[in-house]
Amino acid sequence: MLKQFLIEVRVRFEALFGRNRLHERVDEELEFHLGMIEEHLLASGVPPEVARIRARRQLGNDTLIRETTVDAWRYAAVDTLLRDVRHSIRALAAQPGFAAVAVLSLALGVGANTGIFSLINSVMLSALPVHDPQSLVMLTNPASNGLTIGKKSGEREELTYSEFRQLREQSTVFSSLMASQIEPEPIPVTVDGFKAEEAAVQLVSSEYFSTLGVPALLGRTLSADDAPDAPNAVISYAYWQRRFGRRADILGTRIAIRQGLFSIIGVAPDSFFGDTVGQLTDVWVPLTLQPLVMPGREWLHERPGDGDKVMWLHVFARLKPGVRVETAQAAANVTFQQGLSVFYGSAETARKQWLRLRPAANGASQIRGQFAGPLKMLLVASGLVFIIACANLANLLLARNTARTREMSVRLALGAGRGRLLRQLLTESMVVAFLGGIAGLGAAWMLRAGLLSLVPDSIHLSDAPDIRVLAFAFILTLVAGLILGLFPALRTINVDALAGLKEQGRGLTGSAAWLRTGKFVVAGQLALSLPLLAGAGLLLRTFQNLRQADLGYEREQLLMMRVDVQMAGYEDQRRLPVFQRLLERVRGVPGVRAASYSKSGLFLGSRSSGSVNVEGYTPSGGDGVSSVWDHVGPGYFSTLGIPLLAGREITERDHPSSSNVCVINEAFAKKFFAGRNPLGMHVNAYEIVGVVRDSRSRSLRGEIEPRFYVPVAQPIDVPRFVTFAIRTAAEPSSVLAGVRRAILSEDPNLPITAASTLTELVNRQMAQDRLLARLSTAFGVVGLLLAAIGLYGVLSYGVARRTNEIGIRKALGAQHGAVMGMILRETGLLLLSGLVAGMFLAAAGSRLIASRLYGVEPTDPTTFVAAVALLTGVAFLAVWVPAYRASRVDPLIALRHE
Amino acid sequence: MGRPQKPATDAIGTLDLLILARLARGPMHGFGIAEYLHEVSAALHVEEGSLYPALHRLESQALVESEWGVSENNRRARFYRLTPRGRKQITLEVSNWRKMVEAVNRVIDPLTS
Repeated sequence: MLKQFLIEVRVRFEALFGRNRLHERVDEELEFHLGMIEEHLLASGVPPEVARIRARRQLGNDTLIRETTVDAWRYAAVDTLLRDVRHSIRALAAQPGFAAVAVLSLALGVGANTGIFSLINSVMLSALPVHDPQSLVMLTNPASNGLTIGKKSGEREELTYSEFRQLREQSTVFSSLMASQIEPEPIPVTVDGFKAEEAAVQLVSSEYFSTLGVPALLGRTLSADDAPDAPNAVISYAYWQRRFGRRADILGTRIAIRQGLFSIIGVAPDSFFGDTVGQLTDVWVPLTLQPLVMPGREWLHERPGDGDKVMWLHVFARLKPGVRVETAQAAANVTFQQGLSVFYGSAETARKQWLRLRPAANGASQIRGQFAGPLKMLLVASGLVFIIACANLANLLLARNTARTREMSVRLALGAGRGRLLRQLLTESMVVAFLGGIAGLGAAWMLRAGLLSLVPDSIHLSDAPDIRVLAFAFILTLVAGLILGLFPALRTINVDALAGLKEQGRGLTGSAAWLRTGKFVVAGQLALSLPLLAGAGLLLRTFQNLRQADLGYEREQLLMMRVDVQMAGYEDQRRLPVFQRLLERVRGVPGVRAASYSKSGLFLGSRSSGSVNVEGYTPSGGDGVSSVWDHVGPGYFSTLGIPLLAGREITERDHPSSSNVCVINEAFAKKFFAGRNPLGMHVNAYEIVGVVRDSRSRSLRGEIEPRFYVPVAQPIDVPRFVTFAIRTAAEPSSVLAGVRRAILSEDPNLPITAASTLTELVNRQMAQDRLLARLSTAFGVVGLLLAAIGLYGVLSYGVARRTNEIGIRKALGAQHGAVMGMILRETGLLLLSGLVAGMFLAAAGSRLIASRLYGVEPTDPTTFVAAVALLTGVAFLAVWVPAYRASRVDPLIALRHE
Repeated sequence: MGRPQKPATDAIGTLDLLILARLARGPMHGFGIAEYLHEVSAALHVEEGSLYPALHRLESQALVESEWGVSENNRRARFYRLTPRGRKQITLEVSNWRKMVEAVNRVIDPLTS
């Protein structure tokens, strides 16, 4: 079987490409034959020249033979295929309407799916551009104790520097181990003394490049043999191109990063962007020089007894050959927990945290955790669109083939094989599918550009077409073409030749059957469209609700700017005065209505929390009491516009020597002081002097946590940065420059590590919801359009088939209206059944997206009613045109219609 | 127009059967096939001009396959060999042949009885 298959493959290949060789071969064969005849003649005594002539005569006209032999290949099966294809293309060109609708339907279906899949591919599936990504693992710490630096979503993947070093010493299971800063930091750097500009700088251990298996394109990469204080830097290809124009003398260039002066020793290859999908690093510098790059912060050492450990590194490793993940994990955990016991001074606490090894072929990814859910939902939605599109295609092909029943019957009667006909019909559907697939790829390409714009702009995703995506689109198209072509084709072929020949145009078996199937399919399409529309509606409303969500304060005209004084070298005691002076300056900027500051700021991802002591409250469970807190400056709440519910807010009067006070939010009061008056009570050493309304400072969803606010002047621990909250009179972005100048006028070395309007920050939070809302709406609309086209098509055809009957009715006196009414009534049943089925599907489907909804229930009646109304409206429109045409049929023409 | 018809110079459609039957006994080059058929029965005069088109047609239908080899007298020759499908085809052709013979017999029986 296999052997035969291979033979046939070779035959086809030869037929297409073996032209010249064929001629040569035939020549040689005939030469051989001639030679053999000659030999025989010679052996029987005929002289040579005579033998030659006689041999030639015996063979016959060898030119003719040559031609006939070569011709024998002309009808090899593959040639038939080409002829079929050419024929199909001609047939399609003759029916442009059909071709257009078919190709468009498939293009939309394939395009939607491929677009989403390509996004999924980039975000979730792409392997890192490193050597053998499959054997990379990542060490994670899934528990929740400890101080983490960096965004948190999904499983926690950060470790401390000491833990990394401990694990590195433990080399029995790892062949190599490396650590890298969670994400690169945009830092102003100066190159060769030029003006400062921002570059994304990432601290990595010396084994970074060797563990990943990334060689240097130019020069060399960081190496474990370098001295720990060697100020080496490796730059990325993109940075080399962008900033240095790929100049050849890049090595040795000096680059100053905060307090460190580095020398560029190498350039990374083009394809390497880092260890996290979606993040681009420009400059890699050694981890050991962290204090130079982040002055004032020392994250390389922990002393047991320190407040808490700082987890700021991603750790990747390669396992030794033959070592299994479970074994390595167990061994690593031994080391890890020993270290923890020493740090925490207790084995109990140590055991609360543990190490997990996970495969890291795709690297670490922040966005993967956030977007995995929405992308999967969108894949389902695009799948529905694909099914609807295929249904259209099926209907169209079915209709077309039904119209050719007579032609098929004639051919069958004349002796054509069913197999041959089937192949021809299949070829036709494959050609349509192929064209649709190509168009779909184009659509997906365009869609991708739009999709990327919906994913936050801090993310860089490769633009290059991926083989996986192309394969996906190809497979989809193939499946569509085969299955869809098979059904109609088989039905047509199995038509009894005799019956087909006898069929006349008065609406008989073949077309009636198709009409039944066609209507069933359309009802199905309508049923599938409804969940798409309902889902889109729900997600749209979710997005709207989020945009208008009550944060507890006005989100417009609010600017956030974070100033990190520790990095500029201010020690604890100098900080409060500088905060106060900065506040004065900021308040003096034209365009600023009010200003204050807090440590965590709003929607910047910062959060301080820990255990506290609340007067008069004993926890019910065994755990201690914990809460979130923030440090705020004077007039914070009035600046933001958060109403006071009781007492007073924190003002200038609260200074280091006055009594320690704090303000709590509603949630705190409800949780810890239910039924009691909180004013006058104490949280740790702070007396509660005010209660404020709940407000959101980190996320739009979920419960608001209990929180208490202490003055920066009376801190729990002196903040190393503060975030200014600035109310502006006009657009916040216009005031930004002025505020920046004011801050730098106090001290030009002050790093401003964040500067955004609150609306920008909140919008970034809503990125996934925006993606869902926009795309699901797009899919809903496309699905609806396709279903409408299907409906229109089926109905038009039905009306065309019944032209005769309609003509008779009209001749007998039926009015326009009556005919239209008849058509519409009959369609009504179709619509109704589709709607009912759709409702069930929608109700079930909305449960799937329930987790993303905000402010709407999965079975929200308004949304469902709107979806049904929209669907009915569009369906009605699609039906109206054929119905109208039916009513306008001229009886005379109709009666003559065959 | 359609496929090249089997050469009208033979008994209808038998050339294919003869070639396949010979190859069932083992691979051979074109000249050898012609000789064998001539040996078996002088009546089976295979017009050499139609042999090669037939061989190539059979190959294009994947009923036989071929490759270069060396003949008994050390010349380069193209040897043909049956494929699995070709083997199956013989059965089909034989049955067709027998049906045809029967049909012809029925027509001429009245003459001979």
